[in-house]
Amino acid sequence: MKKQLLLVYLAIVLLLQSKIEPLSTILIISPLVILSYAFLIKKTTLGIVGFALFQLLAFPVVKLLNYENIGGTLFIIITMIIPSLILLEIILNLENNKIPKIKPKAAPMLTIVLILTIIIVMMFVLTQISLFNIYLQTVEATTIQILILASITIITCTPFLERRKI
Amino acid sequence: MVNDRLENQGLESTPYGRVLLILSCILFVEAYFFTNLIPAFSAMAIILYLVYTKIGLKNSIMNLDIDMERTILEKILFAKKPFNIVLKIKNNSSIAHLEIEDEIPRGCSLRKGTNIYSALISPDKGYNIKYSILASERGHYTFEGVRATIKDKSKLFQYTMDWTLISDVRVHSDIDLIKEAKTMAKTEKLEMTVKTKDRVMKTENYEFDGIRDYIPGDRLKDIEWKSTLRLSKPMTKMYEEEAAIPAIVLLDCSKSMRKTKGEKSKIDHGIQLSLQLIKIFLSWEHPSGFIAFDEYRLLIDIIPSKKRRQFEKIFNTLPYIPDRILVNEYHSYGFPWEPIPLNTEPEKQFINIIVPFHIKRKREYTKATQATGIYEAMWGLISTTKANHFIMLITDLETNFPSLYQALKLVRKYRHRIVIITPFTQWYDTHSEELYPNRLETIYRSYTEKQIIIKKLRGLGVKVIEITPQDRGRKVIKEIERSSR
Repeated sequence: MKKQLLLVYLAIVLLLQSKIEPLSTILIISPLVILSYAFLIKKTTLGIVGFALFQLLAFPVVKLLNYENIGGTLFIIITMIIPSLILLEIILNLENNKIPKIKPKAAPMLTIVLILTIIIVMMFVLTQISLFNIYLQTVEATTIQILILASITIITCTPFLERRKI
Repeated sequence: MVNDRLENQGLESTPYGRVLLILSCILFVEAYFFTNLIPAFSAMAIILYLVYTKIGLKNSIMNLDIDMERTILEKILFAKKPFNIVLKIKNNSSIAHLEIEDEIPRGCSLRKGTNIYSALISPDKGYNIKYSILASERGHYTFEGVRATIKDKSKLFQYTMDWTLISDVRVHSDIDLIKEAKTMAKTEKLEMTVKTKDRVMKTENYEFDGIRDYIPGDRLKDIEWKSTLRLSKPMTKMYEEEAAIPAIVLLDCSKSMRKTKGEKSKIDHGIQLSLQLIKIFLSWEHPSGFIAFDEYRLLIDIIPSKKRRQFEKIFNTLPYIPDRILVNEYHSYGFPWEPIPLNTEPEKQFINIIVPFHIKRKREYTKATQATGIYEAMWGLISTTKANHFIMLITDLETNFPSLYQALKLVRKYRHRIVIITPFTQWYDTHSEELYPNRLETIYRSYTEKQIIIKKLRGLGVKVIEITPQDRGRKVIKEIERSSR
């Protein structure tokens, strides 16, 4: 029931933030229907497919053009991004009868906080600087901001995601 | 319990992990093309979630503490009869998802249950994997280890590692062999006697043989009282008795006996015959023993006895006989006749240093032919007993023949009765489709060579029985009876 409530919540949030029109509604509702069915039959694979469709189709319905507006960005992150991560966690544990309760270790949490701090600092600092006559807050500011975000994420996270022997 | 980490293949992502990584990349691209920051934030969040999960799993693996113990429930294992295994796992760490695969030895197949355990396991809890496997052949099997795949709670990353957890098992021949031997023992009749003064082997038929001085240890009822009074010193009556002759089966376990192309092997046939002969001899009250030897040393040595559990005692040693050797093409060793000379002092010295180390027994060697398993067996026999024995030697005569000849000469001096039961290699490894002229010529040449050898052995007064793969103990007993008449 809690899982279904999360889906309803996400649907409401997305519908409220998007323009009410048939295409947007279909794009938001259809992945959520797939997800709902995946919850019903407890199939993680179908859940992942639903989640991917939800991320690719439903999320872009809401537009965010600039992260310079801290309030708007934080609102989007809190209302949409964090619940979608909770949704992912639920999907990945669909085939387990219950989500295992494991005490969170300090090391992973600290690493993530460190990475996030680096990303946030870099995000806001890089867009403020003017280097070699390239002024970042131009018409292409959104695409440049996306590139900065992508590159910082890749630079900071790749060392952790590499396959290494323990 | 051996519990040791062997090697790992590193932390790798599962298909779900890879899908999420690809999804993040697509989201970045989508964000760029649709000029929208939300997919980029989603992608970043997913990647951070992956990093968090991976670090968490790595952290758990660093503190990995899993105990494993394998138990084989049956005490005696038989070929073609499933046996049960229990693998106890205890998770002392905080690993969420564990997949354990107990590696089954080569030559065994899974019959019941599963050797793979995959589940979410709670810390500080124990789990058991129960399954049964079946060994197709007699022999020695080794459980090498356990493969463990550890996954994080969301199954995004996994870590595969091999543990060494060695369990050695020895599997007996097919249980039907015992049943066959027992049935044969009920139907076959055999009585071979020998004159002896040894009271241990006494039968009801005994004759008065004479009087001698009393020796401490003589039984009271054997004292000849009249003579004792007349001569004023204790005298003992002596009997010559008809006793069941002690029988001993000697099984050659050298490489030539063990090599096979697959279906039939001389060693397995030898074991089968040994069991049947021993059972028949024991059922007719013959003290029976068993010796197995290879090229260099004795492997099993059970002295003749007719105690109640003698057959079980012999049977329990059979798994220690070396396994058959599978080869693609079997070539007969031929029948080397000329003994290797051992004349020079350095050669003698070499043999006297190396061989005792190898056979774990110290003895003086003057000839190379003495440093073999068959000679060791025969030497042991004549040095431990004075009584006449009935020796049944099962060998293909292809290994250490000069040594065998010397050993037989030695044993014949002590008037032991010897029967050689010899399988012919070609009957075991030749299919009817392979009988083209060249092959037939080879078989004929080999058979002729073997006949020369057999003739030489018969010259020593040794009875030689040639057997084919279909022959059972019944045929051998009939041949023995015929020769003893």
